[in-house]
Amino acid sequence: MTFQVTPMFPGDLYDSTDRMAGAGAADWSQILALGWQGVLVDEDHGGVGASLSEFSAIAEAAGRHALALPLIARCVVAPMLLAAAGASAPARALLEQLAAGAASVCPVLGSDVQATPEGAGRVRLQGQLRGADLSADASHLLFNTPTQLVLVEAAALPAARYYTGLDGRRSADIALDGVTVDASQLLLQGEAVRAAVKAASDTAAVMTCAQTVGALGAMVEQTIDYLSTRTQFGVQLSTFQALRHRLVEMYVAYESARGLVKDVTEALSADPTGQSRDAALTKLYLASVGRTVAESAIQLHGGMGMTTEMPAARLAMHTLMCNLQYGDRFHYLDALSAQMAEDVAALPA
Amino acid sequence: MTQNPPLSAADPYAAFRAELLAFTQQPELAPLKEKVRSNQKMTRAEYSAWQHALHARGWGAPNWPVEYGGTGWDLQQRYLFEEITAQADCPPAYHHGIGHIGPVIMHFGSDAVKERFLPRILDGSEHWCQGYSEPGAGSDLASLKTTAVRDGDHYVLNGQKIWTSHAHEADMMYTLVRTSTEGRKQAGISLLLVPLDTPGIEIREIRTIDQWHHVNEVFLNDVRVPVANLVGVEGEGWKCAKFLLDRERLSPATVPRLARQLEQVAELLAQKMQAQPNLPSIHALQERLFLAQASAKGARQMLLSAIQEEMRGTLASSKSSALKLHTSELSQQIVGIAFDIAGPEYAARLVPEVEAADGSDELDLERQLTHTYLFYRSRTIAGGTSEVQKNVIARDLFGA
Repeated sequence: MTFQVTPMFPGDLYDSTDRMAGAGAADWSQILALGWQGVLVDEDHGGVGASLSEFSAIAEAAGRHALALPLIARCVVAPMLLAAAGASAPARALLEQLAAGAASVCPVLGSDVQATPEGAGRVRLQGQLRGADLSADASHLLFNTPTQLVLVEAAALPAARYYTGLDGRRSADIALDGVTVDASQLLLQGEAVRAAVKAASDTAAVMTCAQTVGALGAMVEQTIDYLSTRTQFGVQLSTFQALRHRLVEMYVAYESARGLVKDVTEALSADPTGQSRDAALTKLYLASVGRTVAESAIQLHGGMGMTTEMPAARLAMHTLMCNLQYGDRFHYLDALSAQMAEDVAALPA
Repeated sequence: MTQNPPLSAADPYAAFRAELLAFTQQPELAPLKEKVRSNQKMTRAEYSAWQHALHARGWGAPNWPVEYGGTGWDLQQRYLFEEITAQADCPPAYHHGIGHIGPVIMHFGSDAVKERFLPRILDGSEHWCQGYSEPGAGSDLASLKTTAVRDGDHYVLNGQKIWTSHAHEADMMYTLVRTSTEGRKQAGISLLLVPLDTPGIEIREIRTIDQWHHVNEVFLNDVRVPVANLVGVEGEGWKCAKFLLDRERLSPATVPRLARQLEQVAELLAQKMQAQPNLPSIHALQERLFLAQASAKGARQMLLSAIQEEMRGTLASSKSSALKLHTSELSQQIVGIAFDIAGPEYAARLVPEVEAADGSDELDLERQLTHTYLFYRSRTIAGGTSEVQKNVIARDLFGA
């Protein structure tokens, strides 16, 4: 291969993930065995206590292979939410199990479920959990209402309606009506919930961008490879200037996205709060260039770009999916616009 | 994990930053900074004043080695210099002398040429321009036809140069001329230093869409230039030109300048929102602003990593060309937002026939950014068009 990407955060985590995911046989049990769920968990709870930059190496390398697994949900969001609920004994216990690979917690952010205490230490749940990523089995589901963080054992849940998503991941909508949980399963309550969900969501958003960077780099590599191999009109496709220039646009978008995500990941690693605006800018930008690069990769692969057999096509779908998770471009555009309006309103007349 | 020095907590450049910052805050620079802040066209007067101030501080040549009176700074320090001066609205360095021909003279010039020209580049007393392009030689520069025929101790020049920035206010022009028509077209090109007051030179303004006087045509009719003004070996001027391109392929100046412009455009949009809150069309401008802000952060990181690669000697040409391609397009997007904010008001009133006595026209940011929007169309044309950059990058990426 002529061009090869330089990872944002090179090292063992990147290399081993790249090898494992590239072997094409990655499943969740391997990931549990590798302890990825514990990478961001602190050492007191049996985790690695690594920085976000280090986890980003895993996310980027997994993105290179369009790994259709709930990587960010289980390894970033779940541990962050449980750590935020660290005052709760069940939360701490679960964090340890999660780091040990003995449990896997599927988080669902921003549900409209209502959790109402009904006496005798029980809480009644009402509403639907939408879009739980169950591409891999989960032992628990963890969701929030505006002021509660609620843990449910997967075994206690009613039947769900399952879907296959854009990039092959499996999601479930689960009606919770009638389910009751123990009051101790409200892991966190009050204003702290909003802050915990916001921090987890911002971090997860940036990590989907790291996955996207991995996918963009791989699409550039594979498109170069394809254009250099495929022959039409008696010549390699790579001799046509129109195709070369479109590939270059993909490459430049990749470099720019890579720079931005690296910058923001480093900032988040150093200071996990207060990067909300940068996270929003990153997500907005990646959604824009991710879409363009994905469409170009499909186009430049011709008919083959339409087939799921083609890695580039799967990378394109993975990119579109990552772009839409933890807030799509409009979510962040609205947030940034609202913030700007607020800033302007605060200016002297 | 590697950290970029300017971002890390234990900043080895902290003292250096403080020195730079203090320098930019001196009150004598205020009038100059006001012009830069309003995005006016810089002329020789501003460039010279800035060069004078830098030279007095010992910073006249950030990119030169100490032995020639330069600062000897590494690329990282040069980047900090650019970032802090740009942020403080100090003028950009005048690139033709300090940036371009100076290093070429150091590398290829005779001792006599070095002694004659370098000190006056450094103190800003001589102003330079670049005579490269010709009507038939733009992106394909090696097709140039201006001839230089040896006649005793002189070369006699005949031909025409075009797009010559600043020729109308320069003292000297470094120029590529053809001293032989044999062999490959890159052979037989020589680099000559031409005093612009030599008889036979005529400089004509080219009127451009931005309505600023920037570029010129330079006609050369039997212009006699001393052979002593040859840089390097006759017929090897292409080597000098390539050397210059290679050296300058990574410009630390562009990204900090566009970051500052982006702040100004954000302020203009904020003013528009203040005047007309809740206008739905604001959202269209906001989205472009946010995308440009994200893109500028990406460009900054691209530059910082390219600087580190260059310092290690591993920078690929695809990277530096990608940076040029990306930043030139981004700078157009940024001023494009300003152009849309300024709108019909300034489109109809671009150039006042009589300037307001209080200077308010010249200091009007929206007016100057309207000029800049038009001027910046050249960003993707000059210094290698975007299409040429794409060819360069593609050659690197495809390995052919």
